Amino acid sequence: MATTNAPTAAPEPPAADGPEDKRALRKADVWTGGILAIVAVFMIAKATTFPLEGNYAGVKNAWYVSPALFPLIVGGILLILSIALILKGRADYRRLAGTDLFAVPWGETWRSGQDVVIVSALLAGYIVGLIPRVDFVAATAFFLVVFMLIYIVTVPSARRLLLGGFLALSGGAFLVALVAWPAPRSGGQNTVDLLIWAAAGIAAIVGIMGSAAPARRRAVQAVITSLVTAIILAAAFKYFLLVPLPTEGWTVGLMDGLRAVLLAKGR
Amino acid sequence: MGTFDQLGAFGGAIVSMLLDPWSVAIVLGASFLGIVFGALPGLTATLGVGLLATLTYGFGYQTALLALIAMYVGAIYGGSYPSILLNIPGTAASAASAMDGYPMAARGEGGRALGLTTTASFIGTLLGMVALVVLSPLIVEVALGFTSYEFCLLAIFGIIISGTLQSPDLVIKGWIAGFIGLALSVIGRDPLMFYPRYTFGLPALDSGLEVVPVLIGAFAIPQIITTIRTGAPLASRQAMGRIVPEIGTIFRNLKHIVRSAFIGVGIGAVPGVGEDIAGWVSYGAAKSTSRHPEKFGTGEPAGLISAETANNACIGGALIPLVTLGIPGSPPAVMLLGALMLHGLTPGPMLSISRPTFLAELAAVMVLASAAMCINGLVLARQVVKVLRVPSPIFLPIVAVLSVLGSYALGLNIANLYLMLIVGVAAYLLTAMRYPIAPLVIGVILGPMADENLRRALMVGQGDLTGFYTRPVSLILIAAIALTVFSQMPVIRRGLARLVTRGAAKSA
Repeated sequence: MATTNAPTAAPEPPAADGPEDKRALRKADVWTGGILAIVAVFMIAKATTFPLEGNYAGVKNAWYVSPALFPLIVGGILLILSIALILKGRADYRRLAGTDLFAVPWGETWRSGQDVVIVSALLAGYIVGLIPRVDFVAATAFFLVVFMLIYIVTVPSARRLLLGGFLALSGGAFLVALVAWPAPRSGGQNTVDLLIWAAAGIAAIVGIMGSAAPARRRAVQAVITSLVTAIILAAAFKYFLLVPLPTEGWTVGLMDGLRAVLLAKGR
Repeated sequence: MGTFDQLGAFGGAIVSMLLDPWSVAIVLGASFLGIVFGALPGLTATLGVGLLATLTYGFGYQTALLALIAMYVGAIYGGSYPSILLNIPGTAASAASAMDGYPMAARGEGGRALGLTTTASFIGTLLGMVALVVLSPLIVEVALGFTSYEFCLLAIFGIIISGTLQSPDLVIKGWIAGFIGLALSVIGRDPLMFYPRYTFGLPALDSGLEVVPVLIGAFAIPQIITTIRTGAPLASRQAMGRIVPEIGTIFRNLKHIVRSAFIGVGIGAVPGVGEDIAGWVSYGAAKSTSRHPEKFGTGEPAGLISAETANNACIGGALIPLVTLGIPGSPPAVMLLGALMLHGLTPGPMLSISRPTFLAELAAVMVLASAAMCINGLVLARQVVKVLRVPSPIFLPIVAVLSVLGSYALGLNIANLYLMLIVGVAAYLLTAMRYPIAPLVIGVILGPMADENLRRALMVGQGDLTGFYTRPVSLILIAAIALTVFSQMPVIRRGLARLVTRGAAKSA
């Protein structure tokens, strides 16, 4: 059923041209086909719990109005395609002289996938831990400083410290908020915002000190860019596009005050 | 009004707007903003038009129309910047432009790609405008004939063709990606009975998955991870080449331009199917009719020109049902409809009676908006390309923050950020296993349309499927879907090859 297309998709994944890569790809196809087949079966099973007949605009108890109809069709086709992918992947894998279809090269997987884990963890810390509860400018500056410096610093221990510190603080904020969290723009919220600013400052120092001479200049650039970007983006969205920021704390309050003063002077 | 009266109104509107410095500043400024909106991953033409609509409330309707159309045209064009330079489509409309635009930029022809994009978008917008004025009644008549049968099949065709054309590995993976998108689209309350499907009792899932966070997550996050992981530069730092329209290349691709403009206008005129599909269908048509289809995807100018001409021509097409029937042809046109109503204009058949010169004025506005886009594009292109000078560890985290803000801005909902993250990581894993991502997003967008129209069609036929193959347009769509699917099956391909060989042998 399947043939290949030449064009590269957007975004471009690493090339898979050699027999080793092809084997790995076909093995991955079998695995993902299996996972998708399970998802499709779950989709079908869940759809059977929806009303299998429906009423709409005068039509009574008709199967074709059922909310289960479309999910059943989609789930069914997805299941067929997944099975076809498994069969195709298995056949090709054997043709390419692949041996154990179920062996997982953990070491290699970790080596090639650690950046995926790092970027995902950074984004999760920013989105789940900081954005919903910390001043947007402070949270963004902290996230940017850490994200940029992790890929600039040359000393491995500094990299680990940056990542660990960020995840500990964002994870901590998430866990503390499960119990209690100060009200917006309260004294407690201001303290948290200042703590995040302090953490961003420490991260900046660690990053700059943890960079060898050629990378140090870039680390300083990254710190300045982080700070300026956080302020400019917050101001652009809040004052120009009139989009309220997710959490407005100490820094946004400071920006509001500054803007009020400038507007008063302008008048 | 007669043709000469309309021409007079068209010329008068252009001259009056050009003589007014305020109007000139507005069109240039709105076009610039549109390019920025389109170029920034996460910000869309729909969001740009919507946000600008609130700022134009104090303007006269003609000035407001000028600003909004300039923003719309600029944003659809601006989406091609990150597509070409970063392989991250700024908007879904420009996803097809990445196929050949990015390989061109990667081999040091970013300036040439941007110059071609600018020219193709300019021509596409103008041809869309001509179609809006001249072909309006004809296209509306065809689109009016579409019923639930055609809408359902059109959605399926969009997903299948995008999966077929985009898959970098096995075609079946493209189809699977499309059906994953369809599966995601059923989350939330169903469109007819409002029954909660796969919501697991979570109120945040009741209204279904928002398209913008899915779009941003699916395209931006994998690109960020891939570029950081490989440590590759965002694009080539080699000489850019000239950023001027290549008249010779444009002339050589004239047939692609004309065909793409027709495709763009036709797809734009069908309500609910906008620029996102036009680019892909046009790209597919150019590839399938080319003498060198193997060059597509490797930096072939014809591919880029076709996609860009079609998505900008689609603007004119999308305005046809909006102006004549009050039905928007694309999501940004929905925003435009609201904005026009803010200014006391109710698009629909009565508009030609209450404001007889409206169509001529709209055509004049489109001409000025496309000229502003062209001027801004040619002047700005080199500046935007300077993005490449920024090291990726500094630039990509900023893209991440913009993606977060873009996902949040449309609904002001934190849950959208979680959705963006989950979709983004999943999309990266799929990308790493060589699944195309665009069919997935198109599946999410077109899923509700397919679902609702399938059930409506069956309601019309009281459960009978005859209507799907007795109506001419739906029969054509079924044939197109079947041809697309069967032509990918090795057994059918071998059979066809044998037939062709025998035929050739007999004729010899």
